[in-house]
Amino acid sequence: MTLTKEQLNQGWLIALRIFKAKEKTRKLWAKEPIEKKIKELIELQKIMVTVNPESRDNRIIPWKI
Amino acid sequence: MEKALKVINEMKRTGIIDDYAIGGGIGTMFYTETFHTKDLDIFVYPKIISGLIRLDDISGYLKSKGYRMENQYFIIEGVPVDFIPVYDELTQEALKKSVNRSFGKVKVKVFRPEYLIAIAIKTGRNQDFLKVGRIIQETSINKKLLSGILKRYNLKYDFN
Repeated sequence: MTLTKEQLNQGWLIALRIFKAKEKTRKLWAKEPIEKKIKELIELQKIMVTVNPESRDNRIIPWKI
Repeated sequence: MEKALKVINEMKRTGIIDDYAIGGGIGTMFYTETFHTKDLDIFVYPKIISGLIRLDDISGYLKSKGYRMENQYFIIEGVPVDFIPVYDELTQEALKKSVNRSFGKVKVKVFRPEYLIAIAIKTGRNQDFLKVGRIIQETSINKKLLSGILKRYNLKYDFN
């Protein structure tokens, strides 16, 4: 499947709306309490070792912060 | 995350989306150390109806499954997911050349690191340049492929 230039332009207008909304959402997330941010970081570390199991370092267990 | 990816694979299997690949922060993390990101960026080939891009099938399907929308993203199994249509030649090529990877037991498609770099350079925000640095430092990239992409799309970046 290949989109035409016109269809890609339509895609760009949609993507642009998404990107602008993402920026606003990021600013809201930045204001969340630090406790919540650390919890999220821990969850993210769990995701990371699922994606790259070789990255797991048993000496460093970030989700035990 | 695994459950969310299963839902996305099901959307592809049932023809709601023609194809997809993971990009953005989570896509980058397939090749780098962890960094903070919350949303999952799914680049899709949207449905084309009468020459127009339509994303209605995606939202209709997800709403029918009980997933709600918040701002611009859908919350799928607790994960904020952005469905971004390919929007230029570069993202279209990146999707075509995306690679199969595993997330736990789920097979997924992810942008190659060379395309993640090119898209980040083109997007050009500070956070995008940070991604470029991470990918360059933390994974092995195909330099010939990368320089070909950058040349074709007239993108410049000082890697030193």
